[in-house]
Amino acid sequence: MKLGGATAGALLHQAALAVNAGMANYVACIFGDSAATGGVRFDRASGWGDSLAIWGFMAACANSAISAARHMALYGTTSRQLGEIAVACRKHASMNPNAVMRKPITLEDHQESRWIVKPLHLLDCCLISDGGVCVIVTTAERARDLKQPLVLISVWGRLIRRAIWSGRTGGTCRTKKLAVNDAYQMAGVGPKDIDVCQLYDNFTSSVLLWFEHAGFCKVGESGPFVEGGRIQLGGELPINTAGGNLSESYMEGWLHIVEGARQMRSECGERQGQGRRGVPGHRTGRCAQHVERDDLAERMIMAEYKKPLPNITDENRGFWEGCKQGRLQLQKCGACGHIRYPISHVCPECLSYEFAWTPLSGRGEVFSYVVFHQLYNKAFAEDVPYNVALVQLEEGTPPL
Amino acid sequence: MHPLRDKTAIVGVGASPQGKIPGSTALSLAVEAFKRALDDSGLKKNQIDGLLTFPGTTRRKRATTSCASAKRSASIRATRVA
Repeated sequence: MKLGGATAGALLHQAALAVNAGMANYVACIFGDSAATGGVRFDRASGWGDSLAIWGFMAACANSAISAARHMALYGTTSRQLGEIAVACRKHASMNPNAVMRKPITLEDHQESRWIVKPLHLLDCCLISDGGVCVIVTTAERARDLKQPLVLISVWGRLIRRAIWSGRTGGTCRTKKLAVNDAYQMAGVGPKDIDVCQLYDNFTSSVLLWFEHAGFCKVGESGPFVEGGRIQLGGELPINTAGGNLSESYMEGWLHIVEGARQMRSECGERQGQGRRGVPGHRTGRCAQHVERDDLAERMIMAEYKKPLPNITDENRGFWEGCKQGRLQLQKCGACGHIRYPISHVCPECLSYEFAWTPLSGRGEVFSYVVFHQLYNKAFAEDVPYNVALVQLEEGTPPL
Repeated sequence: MHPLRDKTAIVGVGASPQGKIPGSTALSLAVEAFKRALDDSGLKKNQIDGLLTFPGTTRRKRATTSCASAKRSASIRATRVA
């Protein structure tokens, strides 16, 4: 199963169902990756349908960066507040002999680290690592006869495949909130009952949003919430006590589960959190992007142009033909008048097939923007640093 | 109360060395983690009758491997539940 950073949670979920349904007695959930020696750069194009790489928008970092920029613009969140998360995770990693990055950092180190995709610095980004992780699951009944202290899974949230990266919605994400609320309801606990948190930290800004989605603070208040040592061991709500993706190792959230179990067993020595009521492992994930590749013959061939080009299909041809003529146009539903974006042959509102390509005003407002400092694609070498903005069109489509 | 609340337990956890480990593959690291989780749990290899895997991100041919083959490598007789 591949659900990106959500996979660890999804597999545990499935293992839990399997052991309780009697399909298996003991299920091993295993992850292995050699991303560091394999040279994986997490630089894939983002977007749906036609890849946003056409506009220079690529890499996992950009999605989080554009979300962070929106959060900063709306709520006054600062880069130093993001730095608080990086500093806390590194401090905890320094107490973990298995962590990759163990040398403590300061907020100043964070601020001075180079830009990757502004507003995210190098120290806002997780590591890229080789490693393997395994978690063995069984029923509570069988577990009582085994050697380790009992660690029960109280709850899990629903799994929701999202059509788009939440990052691009610029903060609140309905599906994450639903998942956490499910979990609270199933466990009969709330944010105030949680002692230690293992939160998915592909980038520092993701962690900020988890505090809001999980109800630890109000929407927009996560920046000040993380200040003053609150999220460090010894504080009110320590997070990622082994160092997280940011400093322990990037095992896509699997080590968060391992650390959660070890915290519940109270075997973490100097990095042991206080209280044992609950350790939620929150997962975030994304869906695979479908890029139509069946019409390669139709690709625009431009010998001089080295940047990524769109894959033109019957479905999106109207959009690109409009661009060629200097016209921004999208499909207007023939039945209900809804303007479709992403491009689709079926209306997401009324399921009608009817549509007409309709010119848009071209007016809108900047929803969020980032500055690419990191070079992910050589074709953009002369452009770095360059801006990419998301624009909310006045017609009300999702930002594009 | 939800019928599955507190009905499932994590009984073993294991992690391989982490970082940049030349000469390793996703498979070798996955198998190492599996061995450590087994030791942690006190279970024997042949007691594991379910396997769920995530092959990671590595795409290079040399390093690419499906974790599912960890099962073969570790000779686990497993019921494939997913």
